[in-house]
Amino acid sequence: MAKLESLGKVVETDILVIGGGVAGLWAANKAKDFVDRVTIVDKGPKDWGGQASRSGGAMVAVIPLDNVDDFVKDLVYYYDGFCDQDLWGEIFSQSYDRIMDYQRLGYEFITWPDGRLKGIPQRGLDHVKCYLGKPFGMGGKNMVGVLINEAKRLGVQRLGRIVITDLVKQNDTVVGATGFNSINGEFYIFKARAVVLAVGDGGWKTSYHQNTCAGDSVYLGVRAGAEASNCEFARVWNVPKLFSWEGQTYLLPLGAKFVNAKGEPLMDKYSPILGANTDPHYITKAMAIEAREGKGPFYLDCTPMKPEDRELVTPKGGGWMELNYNKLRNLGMNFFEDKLEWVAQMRRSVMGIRADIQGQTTVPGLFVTGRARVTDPTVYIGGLSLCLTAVTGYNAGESAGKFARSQKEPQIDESEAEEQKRILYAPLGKMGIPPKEVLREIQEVVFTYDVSILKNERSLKKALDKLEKIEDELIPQMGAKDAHYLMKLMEVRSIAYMSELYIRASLMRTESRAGHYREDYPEHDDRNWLSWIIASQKGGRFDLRTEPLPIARYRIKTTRFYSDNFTFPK
Amino acid sequence: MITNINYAKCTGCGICVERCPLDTLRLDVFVKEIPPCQVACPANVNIRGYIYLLKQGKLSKAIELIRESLPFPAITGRVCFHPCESKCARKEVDESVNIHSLERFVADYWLSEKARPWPRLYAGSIAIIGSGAAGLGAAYFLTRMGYRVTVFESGEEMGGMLRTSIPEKQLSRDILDAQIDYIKEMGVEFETNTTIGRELTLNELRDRGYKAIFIAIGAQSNDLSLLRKGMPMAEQTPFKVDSVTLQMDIPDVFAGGSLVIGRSPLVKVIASAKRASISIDRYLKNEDLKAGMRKQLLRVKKLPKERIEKQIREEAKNGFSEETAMNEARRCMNCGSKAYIAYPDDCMTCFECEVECPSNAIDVHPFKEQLPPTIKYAEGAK
Repeated sequence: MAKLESLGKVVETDILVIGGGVAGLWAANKAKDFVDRVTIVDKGPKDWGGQASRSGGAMVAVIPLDNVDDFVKDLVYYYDGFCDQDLWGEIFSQSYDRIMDYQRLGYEFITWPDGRLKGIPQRGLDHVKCYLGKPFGMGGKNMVGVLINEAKRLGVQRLGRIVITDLVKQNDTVVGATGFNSINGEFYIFKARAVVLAVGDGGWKTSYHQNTCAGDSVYLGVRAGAEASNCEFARVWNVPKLFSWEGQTYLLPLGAKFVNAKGEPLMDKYSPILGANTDPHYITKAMAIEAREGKGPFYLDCTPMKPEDRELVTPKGGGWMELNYNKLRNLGMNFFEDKLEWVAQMRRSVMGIRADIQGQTTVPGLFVTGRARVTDPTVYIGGLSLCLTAVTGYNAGESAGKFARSQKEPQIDESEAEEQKRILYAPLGKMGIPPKEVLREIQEVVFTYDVSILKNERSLKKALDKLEKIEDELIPQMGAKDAHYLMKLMEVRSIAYMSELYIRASLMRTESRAGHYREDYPEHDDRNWLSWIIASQKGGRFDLRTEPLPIARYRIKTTRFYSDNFTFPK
Repeated sequence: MITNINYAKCTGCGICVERCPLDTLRLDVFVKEIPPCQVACPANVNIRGYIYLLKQGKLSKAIELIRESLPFPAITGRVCFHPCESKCARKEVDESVNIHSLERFVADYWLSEKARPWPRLYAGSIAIIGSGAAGLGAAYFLTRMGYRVTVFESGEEMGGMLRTSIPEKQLSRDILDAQIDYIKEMGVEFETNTTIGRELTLNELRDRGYKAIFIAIGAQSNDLSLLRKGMPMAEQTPFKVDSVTLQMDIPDVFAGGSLVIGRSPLVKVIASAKRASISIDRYLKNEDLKAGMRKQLLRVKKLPKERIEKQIREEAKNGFSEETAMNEARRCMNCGSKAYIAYPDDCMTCFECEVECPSNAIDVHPFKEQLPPTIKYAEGAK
C-alpha cells in the first residue's frame, strides 16, 4: 500500500468546495465564519467565476414590500405545481439579504432615480421580478469579482485547473476528494472535514459559451451514495443557428417574434394569450411540431421592435456581445434587420443532487449548492440562478462549516485513493478513441427531437439502447494523449452517466409537465405525478423510485398551470 | 471559434492562456527569439522556458530544461551572480523576476533525485583533468553527449574551488556532494589523488585510450608545469589555447575554465566547459571546430569583483516555498514567446481571449461549432 504523499499532492483543508462559481464562492466565504481552512477547486482557471461570469448579472429577489408567498405562488404556477416550496420559500426569504451583501461588497444594481432597485417582471408572471446589475447585460463579471475579492480578503485558498473525479469516504462520511491538474497531470488528494459540491448542473457541451458543466454533480454525488432528481428535465432552448446571443429574455417582450419558413408567427396560434413572450421550452416544442409539418426552418424577426427598444438592446460597452455583434455586421449580418435562423438546441440538464434546505445531502459530510442541487423542472426565469446560488451558497457554507467543526481529523484510506488513481490514469497516454468522437455519438442520441423535445416511449427506448452501446463499446476505448484530454475524457464519462439518467427518468415519467413533454402522455397527471423521480446508484446500476411532493403540507395549492396556456396539436 | 492569433502582434503575455475557461491555449516558449534574460546568461539557460514549465507545475520538465545548460543548478542557484535578472524586462513594470531563486527552487526540489546512468553512444572516451566547476561541467556535458568520461583529481576530494573557495554558509557541502553524486551516477568515473605529470602523463592517458583530454585545473594551479612531463620536446612550449575553440596547440588537448578565462563567475566557467565539450565532440567527429562558434560568448565583460561578492552576500538564506515560487514564476512575462491554439476543438466561442488580449492579437470567428441537430428539417417533415 502506497503512502498518500507518494500518490500525489495532498492538500489538507477543513472545507473543500468543488467549483469556483458564485455558489461555490458564497459557500466558501460563509464557511470561513466557522473554520480556518477553506479551499475552492475549479477545473477552469483560478478565479474565473464559473458561468455567472458570463451572465448579465441580473438577480431575482423579494425586496421590502414584496411578498415571499407571492413569488412562490408564481413559481408553483410556472413549474406546473412541481415546485419545492420549502426550498424556494427559504431562497426568496433570504434573497434580499444577499442583494444587500452584494451591494456591501461593492456590486452595483441599476436603480431608479429615487434609489429603488430597478426590477423587470419576468415571463409575464404577476410578481417575480429580477433586478438588473451594472453594467447592463454584463454585470456577471463584476458580481464574480466582488465575491473573489471577498474570498481573497478572508483567505480562502483557490486552486484552478483541477478536475475532481472522485469523492472519498471514510465509513459513510465524505472526507475528501481526488482528482488531477489538467495542465501538468499531477494527482491531487484533498482531505476535508466537509465537502461542498458547487459544480453547476449538467450539460452536453453545446457551444453557447456555457459548456463547462458536464454533469459532475450527479457523477460525483450519486456515485458517492447521494440521491439525484429532476433527471428527466433538460433545457432545450432556441438559439441562433450560427452564433451566440445573450438576452432573448429582453427581445421577446419588446416585440421580437419567432416565425416559421412561411413567415407565420410561431407562437401566436399555440398561445394567443402569451404569444412570443414565453418560456423557451414551449417555443422549441412549437419548432419541433412545425418542422414535422414541413414548416421549418425558423427565424427571429426583430423588425417589429421599436427603434428606441432596439437601441436599448444593441450590445455596447466593450464586452463579448459587442464584439460578436460587430463581427456579425462585418460578415454582412444585421441582427435586428435580417431574419436570422434560430434552432432548437439541447443545452443542459437540470438534474442535481437532493439536499435539505441547508444543503446537507443524504451522505454525511457532503453538501450541495447552486445548480448542482435540485431546484427546478427546467422552465426558466431570468435572474433566478443568481438568486439561488447566493442563498444556497450562503446556507451550504454555514451548514458545512458547522458540520466540519464537529468532525475529527479526516483519514483517507491509501488503498482507496490508489485505486481511484489507477482507474483515472488508465486511459492517459493510451491510443484510443478521442473523447470528442464519443461525445458526438452521445449528442446524436440525446439531441434528436424525439428524445429531447417530443419524447415518446419508443424513441426513448431506442435512445437508451444506443447509449448503452456507447457506454459498453466506446467509453472503455477512449484514450487521452495528455492531461488536457484526460479532463475531456472524464467529462464524456460524466456526460454519458448523466445522459443515461436523463433517458431512464424520461421514460419513467409517463406524463407531461413543465419542461418535460411526452407525446404519448401529453397531459399533466396530477394524481400520479406530482412526484419526484429519485435516482441513486445501487451496485453498478441506477435505481429510480418516486416520492410524492408533500402537497398536502404545502401552503400554496396548485390551481393554475403555466403549460395550460398552450394548445399544441395532439 | 477561435481562428487566429496574430504572430506579430502577440507579445506572449499569456493572459489568454490563463483566462480561457476551456483551456484551449498554450504558450510556445521555444520560439527562436531569445528573451533578454537568456541573452544575458553566459550559460545560455532557457530561463523563459523553465519558468513557463514551472508556472504550469511541470517541475520535472523544468529541471530537464535547466539541466540542458547547467550541470549543478542547486549550486548556481545559490552562488550565480545572475546577470539574467539585470536584463529582465519585468523591471520596466516593477522589479525583475527573482530568476535566481526560481532556479534554486527547481534544483532543490530535485536535489535528492538519483541520475540514471547515461547511455554511451560513442566508442571514444575522454580524460578530464581537474574536478572543479569546469572539469565537472565538461564531464557532465560530454556524458550527456554520449561519451565515457574519467575525471582525474590530484586531491582527495572533488569539487576544486567549489569546495575550497565558497564559504559553507553560502553553499553547504551536502549540496555540493549531492550535485557531484548526480554526475557520478550519470556514469562519470573519478580517479582522485592522481596528478597528471606525476602519477600519469598525457601520453600515458593517450595510451590508456583517451581520445581527447580536457585540462581544467584552475587559475592558481601550479601544477601546469607538471603536465609537460613526458611530452615530446616539440610540445614543451608554453601553452597556447584558441580562445574560440579552447583547443590547444596540441590537437587532442583542450583547456577551459579559469585556467583560460581567469578567475570568473561560476556561470562563465560552466559556459567555458560547455564550449570545450562542443569542441571535443567536433574534434572526435572530424568536424570543423570553428563553424558557428563565436568568440563573443567568452568575452562578456567581467563584472567588478566587489559587485559579485556583494550579490553573493545578499543571497536569501532560505529558499522559496512552493507557493512563493509559483507566484514569482507568474510574474515572468514570457518575453518573446507566442500564444498558440493547442486544443482548437475545445473552443466554445466565448470571446474571453479576444476581449482580454491587451494587444488585439486574437481573432475569434463569431460562428460557433455546429453540433448534431435537434431537428432535421428534411427528415422531420411529414
